[in-house]
Amino acid sequence: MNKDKKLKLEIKSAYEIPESNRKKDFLINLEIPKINFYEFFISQIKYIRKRIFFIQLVVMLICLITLLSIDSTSLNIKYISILPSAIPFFVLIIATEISRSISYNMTELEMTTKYSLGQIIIVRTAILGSVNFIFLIFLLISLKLKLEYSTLILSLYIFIPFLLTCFGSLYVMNYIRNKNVNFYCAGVSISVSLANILLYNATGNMYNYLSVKFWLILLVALIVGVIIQAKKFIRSTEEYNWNSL
Amino acid sequence: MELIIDRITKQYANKIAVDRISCSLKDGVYALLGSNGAGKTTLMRMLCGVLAPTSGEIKLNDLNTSDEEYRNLLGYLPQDFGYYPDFTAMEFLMYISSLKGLDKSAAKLRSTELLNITSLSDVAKKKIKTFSGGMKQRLGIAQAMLNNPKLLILDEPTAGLDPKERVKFRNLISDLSKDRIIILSTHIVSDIEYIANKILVMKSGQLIHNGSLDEIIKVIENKIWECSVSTSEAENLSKMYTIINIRHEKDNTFLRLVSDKSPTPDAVKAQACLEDLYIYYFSDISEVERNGK
Repeated sequence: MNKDKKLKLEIKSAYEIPESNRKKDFLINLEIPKINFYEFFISQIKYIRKRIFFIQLVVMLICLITLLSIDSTSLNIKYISILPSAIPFFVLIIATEISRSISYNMTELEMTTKYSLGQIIIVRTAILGSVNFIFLIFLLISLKLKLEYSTLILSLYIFIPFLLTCFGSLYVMNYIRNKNVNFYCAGVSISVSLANILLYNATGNMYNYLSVKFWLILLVALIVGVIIQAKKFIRSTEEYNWNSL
Repeated sequence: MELIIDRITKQYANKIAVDRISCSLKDGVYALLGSNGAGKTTLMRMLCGVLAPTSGEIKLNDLNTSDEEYRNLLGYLPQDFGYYPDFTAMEFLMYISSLKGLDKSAAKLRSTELLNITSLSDVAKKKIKTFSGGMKQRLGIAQAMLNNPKLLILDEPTAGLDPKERVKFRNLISDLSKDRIIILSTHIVSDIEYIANKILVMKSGQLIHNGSLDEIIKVIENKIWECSVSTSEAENLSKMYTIINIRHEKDNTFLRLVSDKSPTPDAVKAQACLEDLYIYYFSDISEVERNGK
């Protein structure tokens, strides 16, 4: 080993390193290694603000603590209305992240990179949506353990306010393209949340008040509506709205 | 590399921002010259795929602007770009590198190199929200070059740069100009004179000239005059001709103006430059007034 080192040093001292020829040209035209879509997907986790994950966790914990603190022997469905009222805020968290480009005037730059704005938004929504989905399923299981309602009713209980807020937020983002978009999305979340509390108070349990068929039709309509609005939103990222900012 | 722009038009309701522009650009530096509202930014946005043309086609070696491979070859500095305020300069470049699909270690090396070139190494770890306008502009230039683009489009790249930085930028562009197409727009005529191989002059959405500096200046050759006249005569001449420069001297007023023939018996012809051409085309005196004189 030492012999090798010595030899290396001797060779180094014996030869004079020639001046690099066209080093500048070489560096300018050097092909930079690229990542694939999977690596791009993973790389984007780092660029979602840490506080977004933290807030998701806090909202989730608030829901869970609320649920656990309710005495199941004297369980009143009105108290449980707190839970679906918190769900719109899961959506608000995602909305603030995907409207970040608009809020900070980064759309024009992000539209021209290899992975375009549409792909960036899809990737971030997929990451945050997956986290939300896990939390919602976790809440659903917790509710199922606590309440003697069918899984279907409990799913409606969680996913209707969720999808309604998704639809409202996407609708807002499709029509309002300025730095205040987050405030409008917050307005949607607060409205859905308040409407949820008011309806629970007025009806006792609104999912029992109207037939399950009605809620199922509403659920399907909301899924379709969210898909339409999401498609519209992604399509809108393909062209810059020239006088919107 | 060949960028073909074929009868590109962009219309917004009643306004035609870009009107049937056609040209073919090969490797080199092209400068877009035109007054505010001439359609430069709209054309650049269409070249970047940010705006879809109302009609016409843009192709880079048979690639469409909507192709991922087109964007892979593209570097773009928008006129007015934002940034995420919590990012440091290095984080911003690493973020853009990830969107450009660059490998992390290569991106780090490239970002460090570009921060050095744009004299931002000292502030690499400082948040962008603390940067001055010029520093943000330099960071914008750096991000455009991250992927070693074959088509580099820079909208007002020298805006906010001090003279020293502008010289550095011009040298950088000259070094990069081999084997790639660089299109830049600027109001700073001297930048164009120094670095552009070809100049594209736009007016009211149309491409009115496309050629080298010498070819373009021919339009006003033998039309630039200098004279020293009284203040009252200077006022009269200002109403009649396109004035390039006015300098008040002790008793007289020195004028540099554009005219087909000698404006005064004492006027002398002067060598035309790009700034003369710019003022000739984009002054407040209309063509009709000029021709009717």
